[in-house]
Amino acid sequence: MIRVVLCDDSFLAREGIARVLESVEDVELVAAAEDLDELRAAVEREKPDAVLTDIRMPPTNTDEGIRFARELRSSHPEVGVVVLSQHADPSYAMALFADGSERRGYLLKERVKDEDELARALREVAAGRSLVDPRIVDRLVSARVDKDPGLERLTPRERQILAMIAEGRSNNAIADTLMVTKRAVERHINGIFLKLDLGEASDVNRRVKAALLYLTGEGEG
Amino acid sequence: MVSLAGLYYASAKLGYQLEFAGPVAAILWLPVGVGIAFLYLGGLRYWPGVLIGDLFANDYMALPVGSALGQTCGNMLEVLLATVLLRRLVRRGSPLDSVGGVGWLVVAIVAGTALSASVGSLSLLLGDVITWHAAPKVWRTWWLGDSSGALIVVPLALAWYRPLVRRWQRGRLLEAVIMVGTVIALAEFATRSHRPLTYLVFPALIWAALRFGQRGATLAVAVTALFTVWNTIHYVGPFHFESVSRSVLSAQLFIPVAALTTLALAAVVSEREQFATRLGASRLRLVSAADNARRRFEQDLHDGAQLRLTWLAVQLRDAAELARRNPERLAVVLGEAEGELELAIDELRELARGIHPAVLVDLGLAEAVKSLALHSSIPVNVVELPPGRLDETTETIAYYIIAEAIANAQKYSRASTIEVCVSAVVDKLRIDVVDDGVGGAAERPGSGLEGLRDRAEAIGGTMELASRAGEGTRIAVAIPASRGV
Repeated sequence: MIRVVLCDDSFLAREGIARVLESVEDVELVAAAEDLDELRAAVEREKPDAVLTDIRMPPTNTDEGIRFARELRSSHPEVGVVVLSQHADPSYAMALFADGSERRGYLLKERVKDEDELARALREVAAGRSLVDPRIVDRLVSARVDKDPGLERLTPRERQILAMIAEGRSNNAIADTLMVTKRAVERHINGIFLKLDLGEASDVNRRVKAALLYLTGEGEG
Repeated sequence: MVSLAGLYYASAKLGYQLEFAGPVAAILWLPVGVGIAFLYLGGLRYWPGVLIGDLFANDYMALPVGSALGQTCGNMLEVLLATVLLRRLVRRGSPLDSVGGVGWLVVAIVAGTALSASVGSLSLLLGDVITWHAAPKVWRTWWLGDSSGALIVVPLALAWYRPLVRRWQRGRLLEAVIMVGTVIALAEFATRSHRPLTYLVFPALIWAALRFGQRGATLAVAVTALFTVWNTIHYVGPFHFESVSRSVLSAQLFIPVAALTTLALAAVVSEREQFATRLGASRLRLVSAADNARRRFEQDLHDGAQLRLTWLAVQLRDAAELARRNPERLAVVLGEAEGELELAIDELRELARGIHPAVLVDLGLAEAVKSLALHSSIPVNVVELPPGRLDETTETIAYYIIAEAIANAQKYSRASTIEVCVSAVVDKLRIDVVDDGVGGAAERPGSGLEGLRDRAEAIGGTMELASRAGEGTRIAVAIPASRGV
């Protein structure tokens, strides 16, 4: 059972997300907070496995969600965080991963209607992994596919796998989705990292950030 | 050309009327001003007019033919030199529009008249009209007389050659009449009285320059100069001394000093007026740009999300109907509705980003520029970004400048890459956006580039545009910046 604390300043969003989580068997919503102070208190009290929080909330309505995730990295390093955001901008995901990507997930807000995606995100961060909303990665790939000579060196299959890496999927998950063997996936990934000169491919957490960095155009050179 | 020759001749005759002694030493030699003004405004091709006028004006009774022709030659060259210099030195607008322009006008006149004074004195010497001993004095009188003449006539012509378009109100007209009357009265009084009261004329001159700009200033100066000369040659006023040459010299010094002071003041007024006009225009453009942006957002909402949501409502009603009649189709319709809803969410997100990019406020200029680069249809190469945050105003203005520059390049340049470089140096932020496209971009009214300049200048920054056809476009902006808190 994954124990989750939820935080969103909108009543509608809180109720909606709570209802979606109710139908997920291995997730238990233990507290719902309205702002940063309540969220902090709830985490202290409940010691949850994961926090599911809106990116912006009072007092400043900017990026409290990301800043709180950073705070938890030192105060409660064992707590996973999924940040829900209306911004499809990869800069926010990179900001969330600034002090490490393990136990951190970045999801677009409209994803909450999809209980499978939401539950998967909570399971991933609770298990110590990371993930990025597939739509952000899709857009990154499509935005760069005509502009980046590096991406053009990849085969369509390799591009697909690079996107899945950036989303935070494990080798097993990739193998299942593509219906190939885990060995084949590993070979592909090694090939991609070699072609793009991204370094060591075995560390699953680091490779999310590396792939994302590459796709935002900062991994080159 | 005939009219130039006629005017030149007439002003020369007037000049001879204002002479003291002999055919050489005029206090105020007006023809040079007529010549420069005519060639400057009309074109260098009218030069024969000067030649003909001068040949007719020569006093062949008093001078050997050789000396007279030499003088004419000098006068001709003087007008040409001053005109060419003035055209070279002041490339844009009238020389009277700025203090710098007035300065260059003086340089052109002084250089031209020095040439004429030298050629003229030399030809008089060679014709044995004057002695070596008198030469320096003749040169000086010649030079100052020509300079004063040019300083009176050229600005007068520059200021008045365009017809008056503005219809003045009665109060303004009355003020103009009183001003001219005051100038005449004070000039007459100041240059007739034997007491040293010449400074009395300055309040009237300043009035003319401050309230009536170039036209008022040049007219008032001309009136003052005429009274000064008139009274001095009639042996009255503060500039009349026992010695003729001292009289000439002091009158010759007074006229350019009064003229220069007044012209400089009028130029300052002119500069301020131009600045105010430009400022007003750019304020108007900023306001209408904001209005246009709002109208566009309204339209985007109306054509986009609003339409999708309406369509969604229709689909949901169909779904309710289907739930009763044809449950198998229900899933399909609901799936379509969901797709529609996702598109609406996407459009709203893009619209919100367009209204104000949240990433700019949340994560700063560097991240916002990266996001711009990501959304560009032409590859953007971000060369340099400032580390850390800057103050909010600078970040916002810099962001919109870069966004506009990239958008412009996308629309017109047909470039293969755009290069963006943003660097913070001391108290400035330098922004360079360079593309390798077709170039030939210009700041047309209402263009994005003009809006870009308005943004930069609104906070005291500068913008430079280099965009020769075929050589790509470079937009270089510098705006004041401070470190953010």
